[in-house]
Amino acid sequence: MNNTIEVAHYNLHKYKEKVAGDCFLMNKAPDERIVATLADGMGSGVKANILSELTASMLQRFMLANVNTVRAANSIMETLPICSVRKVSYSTFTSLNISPDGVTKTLEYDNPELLWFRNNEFLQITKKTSSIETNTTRNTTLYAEIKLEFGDRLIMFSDGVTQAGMGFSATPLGWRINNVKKYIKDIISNETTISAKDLSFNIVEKAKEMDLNQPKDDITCAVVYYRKTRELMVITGPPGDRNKCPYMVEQFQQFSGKKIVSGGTTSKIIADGIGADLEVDMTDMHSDIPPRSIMKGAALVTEGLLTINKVINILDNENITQIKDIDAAHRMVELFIDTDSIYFLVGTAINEAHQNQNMPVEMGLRRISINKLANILREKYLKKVTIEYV
Amino acid sequence: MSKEKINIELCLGSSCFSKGSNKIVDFLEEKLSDNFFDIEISLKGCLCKDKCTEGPIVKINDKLYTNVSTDNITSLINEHISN
Repeated sequence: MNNTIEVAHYNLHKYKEKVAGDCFLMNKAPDERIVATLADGMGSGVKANILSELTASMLQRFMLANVNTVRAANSIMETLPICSVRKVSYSTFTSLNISPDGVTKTLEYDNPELLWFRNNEFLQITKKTSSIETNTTRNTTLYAEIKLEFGDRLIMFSDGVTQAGMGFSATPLGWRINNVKKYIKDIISNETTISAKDLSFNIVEKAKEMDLNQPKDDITCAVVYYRKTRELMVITGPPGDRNKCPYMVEQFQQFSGKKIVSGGTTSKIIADGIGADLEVDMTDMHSDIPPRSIMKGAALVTEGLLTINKVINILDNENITQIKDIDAAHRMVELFIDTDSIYFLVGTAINEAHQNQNMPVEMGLRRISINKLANILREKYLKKVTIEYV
Repeated sequence: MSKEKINIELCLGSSCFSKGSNKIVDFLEEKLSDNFFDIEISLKGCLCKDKCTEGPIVKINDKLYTNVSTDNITSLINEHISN
């Protein structure tokens, strides 16, 4: 299928709190459905964190198993622990169960309304209600089934967004949903293909600004962007059999998405094959990894394993929400993040000079590094990854 | 009188980089203007020269040098300076 469900979120804790009271979880089901939940626990800090984590985890389990939405909501209402201060069990939530064909089941409980955006307008979601009596209170959940089209976005946030700036003279009642909607509409009309990551970051940062940079509550926003699949090819390593070089070049030329070439010899093979100039960008010097090179037809040309191992490290450990264009590894990370489907074409030639005790140990193990990278991209970033060895 | 010109090409591939070619770049960028003030030196990076075991590899005016380091690069450049 050539459609992609891009999901990203961004979160800030309440000022001076060390843990988040909001919780956002996302999983991919074996049948390619994407299930995502944003829960906001009552209060802030550890208690809120436990409530929201519990709620979100339970909802995710139910949704992944495709349990009836209303039944799932009711089970959660009945089982949530009760807040000792307020005598109510409380974590608001918004939950989505999105099929690859765009059919989406939504479930909402007391969060700011879920927004559905298409062609520069917000669409109305026709919701049904379901009520349940618990020991302490009567709760109403809203549920709906909608069909997303290419270019549609779903935007959900905690009340930290709509209530941002509350109490200040300019915004006595906070930012408020209609102003948030206007802000979102302005951002998207300025940048129609803005990624889920950038849009969610943008909304949360704006809310923080309205709270004079000291969030009065946890602020979380998650965005779903349903669009055509973006493809990326990574060619790395010379082929084990040098007669396969023309095959590599051919694959490079025929691929219609963006292309990364990683490796000195590899980039020379491709440059020679397509008759392109290859030039090292000396303005891109950094102490730990070699500079990128410039070649027509490639989105990025880098050195091989030092760069790839740094990419693995960044993807595994760093907060990648806002990457600045730092070095070749960060550029590669940026391309990975903005892509859905990644095709690795991996040469199996062994560079004898790398099999040396004075060289970094990962240098000799291209296949291990690529496998590790592929696993992180699959598991942590939900990318579709295929690997071909030549 | 026009300045004498020297072209230096440094391999910045994995192997040479790991063996210190990046340090040579830093060294040259820092020291060049001080030590060779009357010579125009152009510094360029290149990719693998297929001599990884003998790296870092540096090419000065089309002559290839192996096992180059910050200790010997100055004398190698001096070889190319007339007088």
